[in-house]
Amino acid sequence: MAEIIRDLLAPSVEAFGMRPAIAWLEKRKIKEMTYEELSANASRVRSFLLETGFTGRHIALIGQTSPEWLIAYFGIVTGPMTAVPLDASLPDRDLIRLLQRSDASLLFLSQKRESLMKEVREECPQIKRIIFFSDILALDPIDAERDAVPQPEDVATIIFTSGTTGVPKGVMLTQRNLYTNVVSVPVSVEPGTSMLSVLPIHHAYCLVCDYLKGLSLGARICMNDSLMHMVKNMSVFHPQITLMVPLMIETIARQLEGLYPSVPKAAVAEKIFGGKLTTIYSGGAHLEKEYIDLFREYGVSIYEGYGMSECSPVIADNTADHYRDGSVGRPLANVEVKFENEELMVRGSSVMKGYYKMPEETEKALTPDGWLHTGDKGRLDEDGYLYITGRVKNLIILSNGENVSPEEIEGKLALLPLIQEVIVTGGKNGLVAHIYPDPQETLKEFGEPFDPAVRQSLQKAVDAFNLTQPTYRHINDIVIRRTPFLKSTTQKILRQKIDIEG
Amino acid sequence: MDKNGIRDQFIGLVSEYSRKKADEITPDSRFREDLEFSSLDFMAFLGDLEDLFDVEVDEERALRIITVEDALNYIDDLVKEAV
Repeated sequence: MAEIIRDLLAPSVEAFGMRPAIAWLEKRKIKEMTYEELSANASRVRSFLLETGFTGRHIALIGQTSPEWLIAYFGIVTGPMTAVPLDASLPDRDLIRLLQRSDASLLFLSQKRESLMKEVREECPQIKRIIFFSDILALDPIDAERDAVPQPEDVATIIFTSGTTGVPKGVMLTQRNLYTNVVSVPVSVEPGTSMLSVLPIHHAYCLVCDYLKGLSLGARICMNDSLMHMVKNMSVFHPQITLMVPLMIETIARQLEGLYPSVPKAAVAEKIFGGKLTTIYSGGAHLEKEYIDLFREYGVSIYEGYGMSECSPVIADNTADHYRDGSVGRPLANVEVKFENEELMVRGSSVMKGYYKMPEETEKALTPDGWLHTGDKGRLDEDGYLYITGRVKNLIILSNGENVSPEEIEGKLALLPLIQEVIVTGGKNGLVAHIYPDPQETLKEFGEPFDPAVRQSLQKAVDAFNLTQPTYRHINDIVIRRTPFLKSTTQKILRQKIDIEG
Repeated sequence: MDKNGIRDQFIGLVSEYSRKKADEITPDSRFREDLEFSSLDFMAFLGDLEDLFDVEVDEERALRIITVEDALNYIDDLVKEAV
């Protein structure tokens, strides 16, 4: 066996070929695809890509989770090609920039984003071909036996992640990076176990832990069709396991708490969790312990883990056998850990190759001997459990696991004429914009610098901004200041002191 | 179902989610800022609206909803379409 993604899947296809690999809803009916069918479909896409000249090329995917998305992904990464999954909820302009920066030469696109095609043709000349996901099963290679195998050190996937400077960075993960992460996560399940996949598929956590890991174990991965139906779909698919981010757990907790205490817990668990759920793996952001205790009353264990895209992504996790409250579990077997000025540093076979075409950023993140700066502060206890205690870098980690660069959003908000200075922080309910209105503009428009109409006007401008952004980048609260922010001698706003009026 | 019937059931659900009394919820209440819905509360709420009124909510269209009135108008349209 080589350390390549193909060899994660092949044993499952061999052993569980006729069992369902994925399940999804079509017009409210459950559809399934077996391991053999998934593999055959992916092979056909791979042969087609090799035959049409995409060996060694980058291939982008823009679309929500679907069987076709997964088939395309496996078609790419089981061959010597690089997949670039992009966030389908981003605005057109952001996607065009990422397509240009990723050097993709083919784009798999959801028909829902058809509006992108014109811009792609005009502004991304390197993209030679656009294929709709809906056409993927019809791809017909002349030589269906054509094959080529990637090397473990080939870049299999580039995942874009928020950078502290406001420019997203393309994390290059090799075949070996991903393979060794999957086999090092100390979780095993019975073949045929149902997992409900509710996270966005372009995220490393979902792609690697739901799909690569789940399929390597022979599980049946059920695709949630929309966050509107996350709880309802538990009663449709009856999963035993699901991976979530804290925001999802918090939302379900409110539903659990909202039900009358007189209703027996088993009945509640049946209604909310579909009756079979035993385990939730939580990652992407810190989870408060009270939720772990609450869910336990309903027979559901929550295991918190820790990771980042740059590490393929899992670094540590709690499991049924090795568990400690408040920790994110023990580092995986392929991860070395050390601390430098309190900052957690990790090294191992799942640490990324670097950021695509960003040598300076790569140099800042990776030391010459392979240690990755995580940007988090932490400590290990005497039994090797890892605790995350704070952050070194200025990145907002929302409870939905999205990392948001405040500078990126501040840069966009600062373009609004009424805003002189703005700082974005993470609040309980999402992002908060602390705004110092432009005194001259407000005076001109309202006659008074702090007229109540200023707030309405700002709210209107922020509402319009929100409409252009994915939900996780929405500003959900505005705090208006009457004085400029305190600044350093180099005129940078002191982020730690934004609550102080100057 | 007439508009008042829809409105009562709708406000009932908003009240359940926001834990605010029905009379504290006004047409111009904003889901995020006033009723403190998280992005995911709002998605789950949309799912419950689908069940309550037997309609299919379009996710992208629904993301443009800001106030209670916006949502009520949208549901009203969907119910009319379904008839």
